[in-house]
Amino acid sequence: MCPDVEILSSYYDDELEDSQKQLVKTHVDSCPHCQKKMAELGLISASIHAEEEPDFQMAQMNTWNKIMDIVDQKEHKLPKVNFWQRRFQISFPAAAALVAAFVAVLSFSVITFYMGKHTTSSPSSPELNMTDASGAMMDDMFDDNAIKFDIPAINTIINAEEPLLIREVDFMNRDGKH
Amino acid sequence: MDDKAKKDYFERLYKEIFPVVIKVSYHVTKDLDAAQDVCQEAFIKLYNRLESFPGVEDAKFWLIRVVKNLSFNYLEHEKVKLRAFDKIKHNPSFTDDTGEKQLLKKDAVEKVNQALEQLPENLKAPLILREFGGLNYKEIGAALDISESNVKIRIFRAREALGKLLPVGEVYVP
Repeated sequence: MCPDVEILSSYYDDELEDSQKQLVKTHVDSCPHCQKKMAELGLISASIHAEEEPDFQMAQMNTWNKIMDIVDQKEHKLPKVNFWQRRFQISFPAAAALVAAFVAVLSFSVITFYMGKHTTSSPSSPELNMTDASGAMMDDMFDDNAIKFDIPAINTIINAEEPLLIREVDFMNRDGKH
Repeated sequence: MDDKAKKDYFERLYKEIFPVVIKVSYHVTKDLDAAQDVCQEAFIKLYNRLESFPGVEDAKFWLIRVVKNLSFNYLEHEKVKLRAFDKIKHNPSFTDDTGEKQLLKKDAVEKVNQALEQLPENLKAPLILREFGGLNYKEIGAALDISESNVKIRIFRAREALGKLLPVGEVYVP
């Protein structure tokens, strides 16, 4: 009885135990059917190896060099630096924009502060509004020698002691006719 | 293990294992550049965890498994690309033979490659490790983390499938 092809495959790979191998060998030597099966296994293996192989030795050398480059690079990399010790690079336009923004914010803060101070410094004139304050500030800031116009303040309230609203009922009779 | 000893040990492993894994990777990917990249990645992984392997054999089988997995992953990505771009695969050139013999050989190689491509990974991997890696069933089992009897069955099934895909007499064998 012929052995299973699975056994023949293992026999072909020389993977059978010695006792089993001897039995299979004796059978195959005298069995044309199993000899054909063995030949087929040989042909499959030969066809797999039909392709010419590239130069693996060169590949071995090249790959080794690449691996060593990576390994050396990893081992010689700079020590870890803390966040506050790191150096940052910033482009000139970005730096200029940052400085300009800082100056603008600073100027705005100074102006706002100055305006606030001027307003609170004259508590005796509660009528002074923002326009007056900024006008005074502009005078101080720009030109002390410029011609100043004193605009008289209107602080007289004209009271005619008469009702401003003349009610319609005053023009009507008691029966409701004009 | 100091740096010098580590590098010496790594070099020893490289010289021993590289000839096996490059063949395995090449015959899976069919692309030498890709096979080199796969091996490079696997060996760097090995270097980074070299101390965790108790012996040469452990490192060897672990590396073979990594290379096998990376190679099949590459192949999967390539298949997707091929479907998308209908790319022509690299075919090795034959410079020694001429004329009809060359054509027959080229045709045979194409047929074998096509047949191998149709094998599922669980059959193709042990067959390639056997045929090109030169590993025995026990080593293949250790590399693929399967039993020896399972290796025997898978190799037999791979050959059986190839026998059906490559009818004897139709394929030129040099």
